[in-house]
Amino acid sequence: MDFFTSMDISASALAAERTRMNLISSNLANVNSTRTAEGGPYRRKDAVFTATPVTEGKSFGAALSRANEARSVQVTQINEDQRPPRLQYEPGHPDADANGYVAYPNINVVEEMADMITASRSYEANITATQAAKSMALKTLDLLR
Amino acid sequence: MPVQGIFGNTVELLGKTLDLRAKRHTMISANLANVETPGYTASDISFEGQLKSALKGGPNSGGVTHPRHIQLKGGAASLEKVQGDLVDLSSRSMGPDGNGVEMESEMGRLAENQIMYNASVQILAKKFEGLKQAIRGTL
Amino acid sequence: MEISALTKVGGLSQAFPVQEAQGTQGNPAVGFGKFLEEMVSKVNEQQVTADKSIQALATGESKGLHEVMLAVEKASVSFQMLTQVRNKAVEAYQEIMRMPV
Repeated sequence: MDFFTSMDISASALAAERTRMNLISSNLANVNSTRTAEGGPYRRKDAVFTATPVTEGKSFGAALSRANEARSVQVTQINEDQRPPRLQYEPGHPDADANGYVAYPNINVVEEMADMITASRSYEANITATQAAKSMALKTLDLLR
Repeated sequence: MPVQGIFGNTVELLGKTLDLRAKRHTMISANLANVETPGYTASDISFEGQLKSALKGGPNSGGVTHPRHIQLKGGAASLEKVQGDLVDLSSRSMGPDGNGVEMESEMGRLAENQIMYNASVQILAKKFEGLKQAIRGTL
Repeated sequence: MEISALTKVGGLSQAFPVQEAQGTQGNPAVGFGKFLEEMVSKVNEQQVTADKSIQALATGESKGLHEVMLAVEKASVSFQMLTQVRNKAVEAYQEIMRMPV
């Protein structure tokens, strides 16, 4: 059993968390964006994580045992928040609609900060796992000394 | 020359332990990778019980005498056959998205596994060093 | 030359306390041979104890990492001492055989 599979799994987690961080920073940066290229205010983006098996099982038996095997994580989809935007009464704004309401993105800054802390915590945990794998592999070389 | 005889049971046991602990590390890093995935339950590989029964008595734990007999499960007959079972770790706190991984306990198990792995490697190296010294006849 | 003086060396006899029979003033070769034999069996005992503690650690019965490390180190050091004692004894024997009669 090698340590490289374990490092691959941790690396996949690092990539996924980095994607999430990018989305969070994009959400935070666009908290007041009333226009986007697709029209309408900015919509909150979120990543959907899926646990995918590391090995591709070619046999039925392998598919059965795959349920419990080690699974890496991947970002399969980026969700756009479908909640209605926050309406604010600003008649003088160039993006105001007929009633004088401007549609602002429905982004809760506190929620985004909490997500950011979780993402960073998970990122650090996976870094620790990678370092542990590396240290164990290097220690095994001591057998030859 | 009976070379195999100089490596006793302990060297085999330590080698097997290294193997199983490496597998456990893969499971732990998979749990840590999926700490945010909805609907994921933490899994682990459990091998201590099988190791114990393999060490206690090979012949007592359901050995087969004919190739077509089915091996009894639950205790490994010999040390090589210890594979370890994949079990689900039931967590005490299931998150609202169905995720069942406790990061704190996973980090604790990661550290413990790493320490035990390093200790096993060190003891194994010491054993080989002792054998080499006995063969050389001097320090 | 009295070789039985070897058994009276403080360090050795304290490391491996040997049950002195009442009449060890007998043949010095027998005294030393017996001493070596007991030393070997004690070293073997320590190796077996170390092995048992390693097995207990691997199966998770005992969480005492320090006990295992101490037992392994003790066994290793006493084995090294035994080896050195044997080497010196063989060397002394060869030295004696080289003496012109």
